[in-house]
Amino acid sequence: MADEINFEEVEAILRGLQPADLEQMKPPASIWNEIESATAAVPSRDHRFVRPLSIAAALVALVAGAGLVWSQVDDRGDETLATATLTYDPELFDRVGAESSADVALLDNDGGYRIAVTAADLPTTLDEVVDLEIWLIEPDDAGNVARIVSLGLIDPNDLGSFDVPDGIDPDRYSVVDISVEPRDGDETHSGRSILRGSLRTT
Amino acid sequence: MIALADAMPGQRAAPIRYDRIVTTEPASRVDSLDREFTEGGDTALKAAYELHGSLIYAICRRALPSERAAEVTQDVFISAWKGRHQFDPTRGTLAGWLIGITKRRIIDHLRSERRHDDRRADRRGGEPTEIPVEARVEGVADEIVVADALRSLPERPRQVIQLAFLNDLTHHEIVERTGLPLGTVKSDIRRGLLRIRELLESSHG
Repeated sequence: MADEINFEEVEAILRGLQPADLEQMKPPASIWNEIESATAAVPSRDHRFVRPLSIAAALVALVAGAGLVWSQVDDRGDETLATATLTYDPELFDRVGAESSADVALLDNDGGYRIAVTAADLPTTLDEVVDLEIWLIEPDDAGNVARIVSLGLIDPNDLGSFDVPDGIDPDRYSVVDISVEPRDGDETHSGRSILRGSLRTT
Repeated sequence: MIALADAMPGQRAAPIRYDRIVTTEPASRVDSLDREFTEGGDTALKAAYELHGSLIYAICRRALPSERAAEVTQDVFISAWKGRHQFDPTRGTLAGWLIGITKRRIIDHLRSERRHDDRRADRRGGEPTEIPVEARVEGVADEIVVADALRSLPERPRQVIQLAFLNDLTHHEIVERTGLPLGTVKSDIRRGLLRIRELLESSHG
């Protein structure tokens, strides 16, 4: 693993930078031309590693935009109690989610609660066999994850709604999270969030 | 994002597995380009050059005259491509691996120049100049990596960090200058520094 670097070192380097250092340097085009001709002379004979495409990989296999999908679940007449816009955090989240977005609603479901994904642009094609899973998080006072509960797997092409398990109070479990979950048999959150947002009453 | 910030104010003091994994293991996040590169994907070399070419060239350009910088940049990508099977995407990033090759190439280059200069100096009877080549190249690479990392931050934290460190303003001066709340300034700095440090560490392979 990398050497330990503390903030002082980063700060010292930052202090030594000049504004001109922040200009991106554009390499001359001749460099790529040379690289291309040098590597074309040695043809790549690798057999591309072909991954078996499972149904999930077909759903979820390189991030290409899925296009916004609108859910069809709003026609049951359930009252919308709160909504959340889930957004991507480039500093903390898995980059698979960089182009993603989602809107969810908390619905009153005849005494229980449901979370409906009302609109979303989720990755449909990834280079790995994974599922997308939706979670409710109870944050503690410091903003850490105190408790987390899974609502289920999301099909990026067919958004749905998810029953909130009995005994889970959305007032406390107020953060909605979508993560990428490898099929490794581990049912806990993978740590690879792609979107998050807080429920706000409407 | 505002709603998220309210509920999750960004302190991650308690080591809950969930957040720890998200924030501190960038190297274990297998990037699809990194993997495609080592597998020899058809477009992976071009994609890698488009993504990292300017960073590698900037490091070379800082350490070497422009003609040599172009040669070494070419050489780094050509030899990385030929030796791509040696790159293990589970153990580090492609950027870090390329930067490692770049530093070694620059050091080799400067050493051969120095030997040449030493011979000339000997002929003149002068003292050979002692240049700590490795340290100098490490320092140059770190500067370029940090500048690149800063540039890659979102607009607001990038500006705040620039004001704090390049312009040497205090937190309060930044508040006055930008109109941002003090808490935002502090958290932008902390999170920005974390991100820059993460990228700097991954560049050390």
